[in-house]
Amino acid sequence: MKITKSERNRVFILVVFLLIWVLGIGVTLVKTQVFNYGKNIAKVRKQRNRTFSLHPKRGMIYDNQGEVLAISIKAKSAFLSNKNRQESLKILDGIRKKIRFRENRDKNWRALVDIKKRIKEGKSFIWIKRKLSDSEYQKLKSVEVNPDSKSELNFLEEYKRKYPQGALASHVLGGVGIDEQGLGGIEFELDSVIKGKGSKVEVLLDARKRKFSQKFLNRPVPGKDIYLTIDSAVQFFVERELRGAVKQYKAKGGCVIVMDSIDGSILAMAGYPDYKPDRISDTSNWVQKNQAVSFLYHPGSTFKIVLAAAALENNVCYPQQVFNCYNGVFRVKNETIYDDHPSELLTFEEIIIRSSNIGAARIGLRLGRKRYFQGIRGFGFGEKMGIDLPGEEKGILRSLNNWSGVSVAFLAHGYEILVTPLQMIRAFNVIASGGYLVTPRVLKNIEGDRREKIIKKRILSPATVERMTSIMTRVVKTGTGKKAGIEGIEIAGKTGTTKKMRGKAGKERFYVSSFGGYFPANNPKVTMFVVIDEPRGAYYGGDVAAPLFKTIAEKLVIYLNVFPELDKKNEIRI
Amino acid sequence: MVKDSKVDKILISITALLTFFGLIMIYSSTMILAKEKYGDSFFFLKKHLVWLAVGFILFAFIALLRSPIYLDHRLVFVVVFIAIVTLILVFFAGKINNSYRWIKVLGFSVQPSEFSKIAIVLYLAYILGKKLDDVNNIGKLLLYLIPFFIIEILILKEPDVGSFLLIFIILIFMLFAAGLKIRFFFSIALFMGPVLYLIVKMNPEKMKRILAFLNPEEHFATYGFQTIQSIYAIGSGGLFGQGLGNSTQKLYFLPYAYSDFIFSIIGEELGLFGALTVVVLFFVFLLRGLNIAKLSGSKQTYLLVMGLTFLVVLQAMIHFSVALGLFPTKGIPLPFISNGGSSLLSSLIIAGIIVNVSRHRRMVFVND
Repeated sequence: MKITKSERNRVFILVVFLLIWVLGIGVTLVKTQVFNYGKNIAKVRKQRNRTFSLHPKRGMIYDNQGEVLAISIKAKSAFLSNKNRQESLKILDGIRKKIRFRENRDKNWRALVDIKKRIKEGKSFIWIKRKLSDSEYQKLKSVEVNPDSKSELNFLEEYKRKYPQGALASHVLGGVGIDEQGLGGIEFELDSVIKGKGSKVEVLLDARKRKFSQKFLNRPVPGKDIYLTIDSAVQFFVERELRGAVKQYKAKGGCVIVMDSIDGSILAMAGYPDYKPDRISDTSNWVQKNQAVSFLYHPGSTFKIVLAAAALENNVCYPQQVFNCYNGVFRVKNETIYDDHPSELLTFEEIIIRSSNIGAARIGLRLGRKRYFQGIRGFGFGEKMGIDLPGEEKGILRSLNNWSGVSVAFLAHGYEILVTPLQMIRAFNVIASGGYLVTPRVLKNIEGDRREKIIKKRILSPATVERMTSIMTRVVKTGTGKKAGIEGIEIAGKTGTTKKMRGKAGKERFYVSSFGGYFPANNPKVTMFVVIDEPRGAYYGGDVAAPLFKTIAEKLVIYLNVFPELDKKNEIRI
Repeated sequence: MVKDSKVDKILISITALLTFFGLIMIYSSTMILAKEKYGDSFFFLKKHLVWLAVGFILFAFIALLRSPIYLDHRLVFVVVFIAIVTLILVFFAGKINNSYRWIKVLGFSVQPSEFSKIAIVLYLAYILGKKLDDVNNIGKLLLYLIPFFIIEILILKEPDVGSFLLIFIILIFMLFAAGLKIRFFFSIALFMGPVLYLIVKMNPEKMKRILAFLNPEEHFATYGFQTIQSIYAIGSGGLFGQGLGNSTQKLYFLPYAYSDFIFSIIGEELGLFGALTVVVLFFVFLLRGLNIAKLSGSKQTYLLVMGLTFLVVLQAMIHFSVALGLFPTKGIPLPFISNGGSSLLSSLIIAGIIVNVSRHRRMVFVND
């Protein structure tokens, strides 16, 4: 049988038909793979790729003895996969019976309402509670979920910041928020260093939403450890004594700073009221404030050491020089300056030891506004010192051309200027360190960087320092600071009492009591500054701040092994 | 004596190439699934290799036949009889995936519909090319088509609408090639319209598939899912593909990625170039097959080779079209490449017959 021509034509038609079909497939392939490539690959990535940010582990914070002040540990966070509203609400009911969302009753209720709202809005991922404690996690694990339920209670692992020492050094440490972001203190100031860099992970999911593979999009950089100059033990008893003093005097607050006289390391920086750093989010801003760097006040008589040092350094006075103190009332231009304890004639030394305002005013007038201003600037007032803590205030020091005719007289006894406790301890430490302006520091070093940055600049001659120490020791021995004295060790210091301009004039008076000092006077190791804000009852610096200084100093002497070089006659014979 | 120089080497090469390529793609598309399900990433490949071994023996046996027994009407009747019997047997073998498609032979699952396609082509080539003097004698033609209809009804009953339609198209093609007058095709179209309508109507699932095909995005979660995932797979391949083994659509996004949607994985892993190469290979297969048919000498061998060639190529074309979303989702494996013993065996048997015809053509010419 032969194949006819018409039959061959028919096959040709079939081939053409198939050819058109093949071309159609080719065109569709080009369209799908070339023109719609971007669209298609985007869709594939959308259904298959998930990018997660992994929080890096925050660095640890240590004190100068290697004691852990802050550490990040793993903690579970609970979330709801909300696939079905009814089921989700049922699971939530189970959760409610097991744990509280928040400590506070109101907030707990509000959190619950919020979660319910999210369930009803149909959000697929809903946080139940983050960073659970172990017991909370165990309780939540026991929440019964119907195995057929599409909604699920799931857990994610996160890091949780722990402060093993409770409220210790709260203002220095600060605290972190729920996402491990620094909110205050060193945690905030050095956040970028401590935090490290998180990694982004791209996870490939299969159609059942199970992880198939994962890829790190960037290399994580772990947070660096931080070493502070704070000594937990010192910090601890400083805080305890401060709390006691504030309560004893029913004061509004208080602040104590203890510093190494030589290198400016801050061994303790305490403020009251304080808080627990892991509760920083629930703490009011006022309580969070680190008073050591942000409390602004008139330094009052403690500022007389600046005056005296400037006067001696400029050789305008000598220690035995006599000044008339006008029996307690002295008029400068149209202002009057009073002394609480009036005197007729006082030597330069006695003016400081007895803390005569009139005497100070007279020294100030003798020193002159220009030299005094330079002296104050030399002590670093009116400027930030750049300590590694947030919220540092620079204080207020008016520039010379804004000084009135009486400014120098008032600045002489510590008014017309606002300072922070930290600025004051630095000023006291100038004399303690033998004439150097040493920048205080709380940061000893950062992991991987062993250098300690000690910044110091000489501003007083040794002769002035020697004279000042002699005067300030007598303040404690015989003057206004007697209550700061400890037997067997020479303490140099100066009291301060400031009237606060607050409230209805005359009705109630508010004061700031302060005391600054260092010891042992002949070879200083420790400088300390104490401020009590608005004490009630007693208010003189010598009555309120000086005893607190003493209590702490007594402990420091033993703890830091600060003993005076024994004189031959005082030598203990065994 | 048969001269082997007449053997169509190109067709054999394409068959070998596609089969070998199939091994690679089967491993690539099943390694994860197999590892997870059977703990052995080679599980599917190993099974496929067993089938391939059997298939190769059959291919060689048929290709080396001294006389073309497949033209013998007694053998053709036997084959058609076996096809009908096995297609009845599936109803006693139990359902898999809601349909009766499988029987067990020596512990292996076999799909009789795959082999009945060959039986039908053998039978049609015999009646259209030899038995009937005039294909336009409609009465006689319909009478001889009774076995064909029995097989078609049995396949429809399974149900396997894909194979049903494929076999029907083969019939049309072969009637057309055999010289049936054009007006009869209009009658067939008029008759088939209502039949197809009834099939769809009686089978609501088919209806949904067709609706999903018309608007896949809307039926994303249900019937549109496979189509969309297949297009995503091919589309994300781009020009050069994601690389062998790198498909992510096989991670359960694309069901039956190793059989009904293996072309999608080819497109995803090897890109436009890989996909086009496969399409072109099948088109070359078509041209070679038709060339062998043309030169084969007798009308029966002519219709036989053409029918078998179309059987392979049309399956491939439908497979491509489904993968690209041009056709509604239909479970049609890609000949030579897809995983599945029955499909591979029937494809290799077809190739064997075509190669054998190509070897005999001179002899047939001499006889002519």
